[in-house]
Amino acid sequence: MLKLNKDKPKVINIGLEKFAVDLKTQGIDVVNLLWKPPLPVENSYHHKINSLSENIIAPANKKALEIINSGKAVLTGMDVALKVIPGMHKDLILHSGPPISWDRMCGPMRGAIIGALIYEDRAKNAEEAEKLAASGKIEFAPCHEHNCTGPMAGIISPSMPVFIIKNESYGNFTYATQNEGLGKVLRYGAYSEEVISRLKWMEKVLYPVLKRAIEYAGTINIQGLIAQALNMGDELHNRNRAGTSLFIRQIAPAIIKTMTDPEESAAALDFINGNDHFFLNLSMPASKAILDPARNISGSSIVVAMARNGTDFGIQVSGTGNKWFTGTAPVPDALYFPGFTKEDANPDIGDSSITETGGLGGFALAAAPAIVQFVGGTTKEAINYTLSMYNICFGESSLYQIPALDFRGTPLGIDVVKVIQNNIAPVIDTGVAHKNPGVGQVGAGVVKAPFEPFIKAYKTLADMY
Amino acid sequence: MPIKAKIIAGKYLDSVKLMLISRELRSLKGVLEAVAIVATSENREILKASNMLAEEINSASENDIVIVIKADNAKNAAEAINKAEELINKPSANEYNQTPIPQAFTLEKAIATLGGADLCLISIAGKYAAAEAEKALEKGLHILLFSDNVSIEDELSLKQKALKKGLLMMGPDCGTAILNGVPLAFANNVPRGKIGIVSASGTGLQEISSTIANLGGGISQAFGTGGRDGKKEIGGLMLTACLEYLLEDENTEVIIVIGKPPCEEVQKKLWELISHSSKPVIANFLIPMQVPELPNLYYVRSLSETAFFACKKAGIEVKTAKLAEDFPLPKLRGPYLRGLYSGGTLCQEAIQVYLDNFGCEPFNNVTDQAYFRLTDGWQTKENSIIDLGADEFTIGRPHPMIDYSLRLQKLAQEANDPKVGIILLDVVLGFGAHPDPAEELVPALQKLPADLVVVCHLLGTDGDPQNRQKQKKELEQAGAYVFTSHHSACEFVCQCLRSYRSAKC
Amino acid sequence: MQRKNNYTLFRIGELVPSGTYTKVHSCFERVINFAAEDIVISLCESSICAGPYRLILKGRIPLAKELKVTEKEVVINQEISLPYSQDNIWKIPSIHPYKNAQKSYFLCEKLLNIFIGEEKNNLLSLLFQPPSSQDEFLLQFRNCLIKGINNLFQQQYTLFVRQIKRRGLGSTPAGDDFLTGYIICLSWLIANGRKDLIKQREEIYETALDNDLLVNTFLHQAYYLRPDDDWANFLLALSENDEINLTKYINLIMNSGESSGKDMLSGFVFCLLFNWFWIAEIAKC
Repeated sequence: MLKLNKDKPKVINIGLEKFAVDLKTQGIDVVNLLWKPPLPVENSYHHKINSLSENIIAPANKKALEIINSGKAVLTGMDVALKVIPGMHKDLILHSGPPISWDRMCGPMRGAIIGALIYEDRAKNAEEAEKLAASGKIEFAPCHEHNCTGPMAGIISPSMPVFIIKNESYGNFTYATQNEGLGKVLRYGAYSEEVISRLKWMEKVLYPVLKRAIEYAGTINIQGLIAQALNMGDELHNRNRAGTSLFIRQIAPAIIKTMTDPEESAAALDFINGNDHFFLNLSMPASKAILDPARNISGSSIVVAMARNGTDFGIQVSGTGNKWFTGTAPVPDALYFPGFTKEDANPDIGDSSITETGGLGGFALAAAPAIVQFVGGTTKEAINYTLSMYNICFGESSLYQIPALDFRGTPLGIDVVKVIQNNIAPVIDTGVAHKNPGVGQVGAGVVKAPFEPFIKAYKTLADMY
Repeated sequence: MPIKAKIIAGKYLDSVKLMLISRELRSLKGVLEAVAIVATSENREILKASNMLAEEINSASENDIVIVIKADNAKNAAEAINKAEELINKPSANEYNQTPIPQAFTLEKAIATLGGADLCLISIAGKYAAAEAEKALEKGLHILLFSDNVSIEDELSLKQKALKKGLLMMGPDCGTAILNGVPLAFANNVPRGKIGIVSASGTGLQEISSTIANLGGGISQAFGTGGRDGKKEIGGLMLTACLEYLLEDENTEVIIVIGKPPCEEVQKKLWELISHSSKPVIANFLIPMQVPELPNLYYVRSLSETAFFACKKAGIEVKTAKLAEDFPLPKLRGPYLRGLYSGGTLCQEAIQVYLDNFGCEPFNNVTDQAYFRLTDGWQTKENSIIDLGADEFTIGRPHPMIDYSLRLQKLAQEANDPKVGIILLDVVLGFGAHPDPAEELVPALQKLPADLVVVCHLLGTDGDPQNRQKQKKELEQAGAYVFTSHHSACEFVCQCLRSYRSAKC
Repeated sequence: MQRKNNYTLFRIGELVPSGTYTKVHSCFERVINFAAEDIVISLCESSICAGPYRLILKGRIPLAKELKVTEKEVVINQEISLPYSQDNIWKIPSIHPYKNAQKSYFLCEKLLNIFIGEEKNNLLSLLFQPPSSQDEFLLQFRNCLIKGINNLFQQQYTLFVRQIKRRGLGSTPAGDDFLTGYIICLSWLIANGRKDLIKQREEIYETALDNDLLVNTFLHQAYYLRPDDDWANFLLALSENDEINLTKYINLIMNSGESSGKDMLSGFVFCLLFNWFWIAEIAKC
C-alpha cells in the first residue's frame, strides 16, 4: 500500500533545472542534484573496489591522512641544487609534471630549458641550447622524483639555489628554487638576457642574503605561515600575497642582522616585496613535504602528487608506489587577460597543483574570495568549490582552517575512489601560460583535473589488491 | 484580546494580494481575525468599534495600508505578525528570485541538505534515468520519472521495487503530478480539495485538474502513472496502487481515472477494486466503450465532462457562467481543418470529437488506423490534426509546450494554403510550460490572413504563473477564438466545418 | 540620452494631458500611478484595460519614476522613449442610451442574479447576509453600510456618503469603490433619460471627493461618464442587450485586481436596485 506524508513534499531534482526553479517559486524545499553521466569504468571495477573498501582501503587511507596531518614542514636552510638535491648531477635538468621527453615538451618548457642551459653556460645562445637539449646528452626528470617541486615549467638546473624544507615529524626533505616574479621569467619559458641576468642575480645576491638570514633565524615554520595566510585571504596557489608578507616579516630582521652589504640586503628585500608570488615557492615544497611520508602505504587510494608538464597531467597514488598515472593536460577554461583567448593558452602546466593535493589552492578557495573574483567568480562560488571538494577527500586538515566555514579544516587527502564514484574532479586554481615560450601569464582560473589519470589509478588499485 | 498591526510601508500590494495575505494569516494558529485596510480615520473608527485599534496604527498616516491581526494570545499574535511581514516581503512568482537553489553532487548530500527528502524528480536522458531512479528508491524516495526511452523491463522492475516499499514510481514519460497540493513538472496551480485523479496521460490530467479548479473544486492528489502502465507487461501496477490509495484516502471523496484504455487484465483489476468502492469513481479512457454496471462506476468521455461530473459528485456548485465562451460562428474561407497540438491527450480528444461529429477520423499522426495515419506528420492534408509532442517531432528538440517555434512554423505554412479554413491549437499554461505563450503566438497570429479562423484552447487556472487572463486577452485581441474548455473548442470547430459544408451543398 | 529599449506603447487614453510627471502616487506590480493636478495618470502593463487616463504598454512596465507625455511620444525616466501615433490613442466609446428599456431591464435582472446569486463574495452579499460573528471588522463595516443605506432611503445623500466612504478592506477602501460604482450607474441612468437623478448624483459626488487623487480620479470618471474600456463595454452591452458580452465584461471587471472591480460592481448593482427596480416595483403597484 502506498505511503504518503501529509506535508508538502521535499524534492530532489535531477535534470531540467526549470522544474526546480518552478518548485522554488512555490516555496517548496528543493535541491538540484548536479548529475553527470557516469565515468567510463566498468562495473567490475566498482564491485572490486567496494569489496576492498572497508577492510583494506579505509584503514590505509586513515593511516595516510594521519601521517599527512601530523607533518610539520619548516624552512631549514638553502643550498645549491647540485649539492643537496638527491640524484642531481651536472647533466640533469628537472622539470615539472610526470616524465616527458624533449620532443613532447610544450613551448614554455622548452624555452625554460633553453634558458637554463644558457644560464648554466652550457650554450651561448638559443640555437645551441636547443641542439644540446635534443641531443640526448642532457637528462630530464620530474622534480617530484627528486624531492623537488617547480611552478610552471618548473625547471631546476644544477647551479640554481634552492630552499630546503624539512618535515620535522618524519625527517624527509623537499626543495624548490626561488620565485623569479611575474612577466618575462624562466618558468614561463623566457630565456632573454634579462631573464638570465636576473637568474644570475638571484644566485649571486638574493641567495646568499637569504641563506645567511635563514641560518640565523634557525627554522621558519612554513606551515605556521600558511595557516595564518589562509586567514588573510590567501589560498597559497594563485594568491600568496599574505604569505609573502608574513614571510618578509619573519625574515627581515634576520636579513638586517646578517647584513654584509646594505645595498644587497635592501635589493633582496625589495625583490621579495615586489613579488606577490614569492611564497609560492615555499608553500609548494611544504605541501610536498607533508605528503611524501604518506607514500607507499599499502592499500591507500590517497593521491600524493598531482603535477602537469604542459602536455600531460599526472598523479601518483600512495598505494600504487611511484607509478605515474597520466592523461592529457587540458587547456584551461579560464578568465583570459584582455587581448588573449583560449587559443593562446598552453595546456595546464606546473607542479603547483601539489598545493591542492595538500589541502590548499583550489581546495581552500573559500578562504580567498578575492581571488575568485579575479578569476571571474563570486564569493558564493568560492565557498562552493571548497564545499564540493569535501566530497572527494578522505578527511580534513587539522592545521589549515577556513574562517568562512566556521574554521572548518580544508579538504585533505584526495581519494581516487571518491573521485571516480562521485564523478567529481579536483579543482585547481591556476595561472595560465601563453603557449609560446617567454610571453608569460595570459590568464587565471579554476580548472578541473581530467578524469583520465584517476580512472587509470582506480583500475590499477582494483587490480592490485 | 491581543491585537497587533503592521504598517506596510514602501511596498504597494494590490487588493487581491492583500486579500490573499489576510486569508493566509487567518488560517494560522490562534488568529481570530486578520484584515488589510487603508488607515483612514473612518476605518480607524471601525477598528475601534471592533476592539482592533492596535497601538501601532497611531504612527500610520491616512493613506498607509495596515494589516491588523486579532489573536487569542500575545504569542500567536506576534507570530502572526511575523508571518505577515514574511508574506508582505515575499517576492511574487513573477519576480526574479535572488536566492539560488541549493545544489548537491551526491544523492546522500542532497537528502542531507533537505533534512530528509520525499520525492525525486528525474528528467535526465533515459539511458541513465533508470539507474538514478533505482538509487533514489533505495533511499526511500517516491519517483516522478519524466524521462522517456526507459525500457519496459526497467519500468517493471522499478515499479515492483517501489511498491514493495510503498513508494510511488510515476512514469516513465510522466510529465504531470500534483502531490499534497504541489504541482510537479508540467502541472497547474490548483487548490486542494476532494477530488483525486490517477492518470496515464499528462495533458489529460492538466485539462481535468484545471477545469475542476476553474469550476471551484479542488484536488486531493493527482498521480501520473506513465503511458505504458496499462499494458500487459506492466499489468497496471501504478494504476491499481494509486487507485487503492485514493479509495482509502480520507481526503478524497471522488476519484477520476483517465488514460488510454488499459489491457483486458488491467481493466479487470480496476473493475474489481471499484466494485468494492464506496466513493464514486469516474473513468475516462477517451474512446467509447462498455464498462460493467457497478454502483459507483461512471464512464464519461470528454475531459470537460469528467471534470464537471466529478465536481457535481463532490457537491461543488458549478459556476458555469465563468466557463462558457460563446461566439457567433465565423464563415470559413476554405473547407479544411488543421489541428496543431502540443498535448497528446488533447490531440486525442480533438480527433475523437471530430470522429463523433463526422463519422470518421481526421488524418493524424497518432492513430492505429492505417488509412488515417500520416506517415509523415508534417505533411498534413485535407482535415488533419497532429500531435507535435510526438516522438517524431521531439527528438533533439524541446517539447512544444515549452518551445513554440515548430508550431509557429507549421501555422505559417498552413496559412498559405487557401483551402485551410480553420486552425485549432492548444495553449497549455502552468508550471513547466512556456512563460508567456501569447508573446510568441500574437505576432504570428497577427501575420495570418484575416479570413483564416484560429481557435485556441487555453488550458490553465488563474493561479498559473503566466497570468491566464492576460494570455486570454492578448490572444483574443490578436483575433483568436479562445476557449477555456477543450471540448467546447473542438465542438465549435466542428460546428464551423459543418456550417461550411452545409453552405456548400 | 535615449537608448533602444524593449518597451512599446500600446494605448494612450485621449484625456492624458501632455506634461512631465515626477510625483509617484502609488506603485503596484502592474500599475504605477503618477499624480497630475487633480487626477492620476496610470502607467499600466498589457493585462490592464485601456482608459482615458491610462497608458498601456505591451508587456510589463519598467520601474518608472518620471513620465513625460508629448503629442508624439511618451518618455519614461528620461531614457525610455515610446513614440506613438493616432492609432494608439484610445477614445472613450460613446455610451448611448439603451434601445429597449424592457430588454435592458431583464438584462439587469440577469446581472443581479449573477452577481448576488452565483458570486458570493461581494458587498451586496455582505449586505444581505451578515458575516460570521468572528469577523468583527466586517460586522462593523456592514453596520456602517446599513446606516448609510438607511440614510439613502431618506434621501439624505450626504449622510449616506459619509457613512460609507474611506471605509472597508482593500488597498482602495471597499466603500470608496462602492460609491464609485453607484455614481457610474447614476450617470448611466441619467444618460438614459433619468433627469430626476441629477441632484442625487451631484450631492453624492461632491461629498465623496476627498484628498486621495486615485479615488478622486475614479469619481471624476464616474460623474462625467468617462469609463475605462471594460466598464465602457459593460455599459454598452447593457445598452445593446448583449448578454454574451455582458457576461464577458462582468468577468473581466471582477477579475482585475488593481481596480477592485467587484466592489465597484456592487455599487452599480445596488444603484440599479435602488433607483430602478424598486421604483419600478413601486410604479407597478
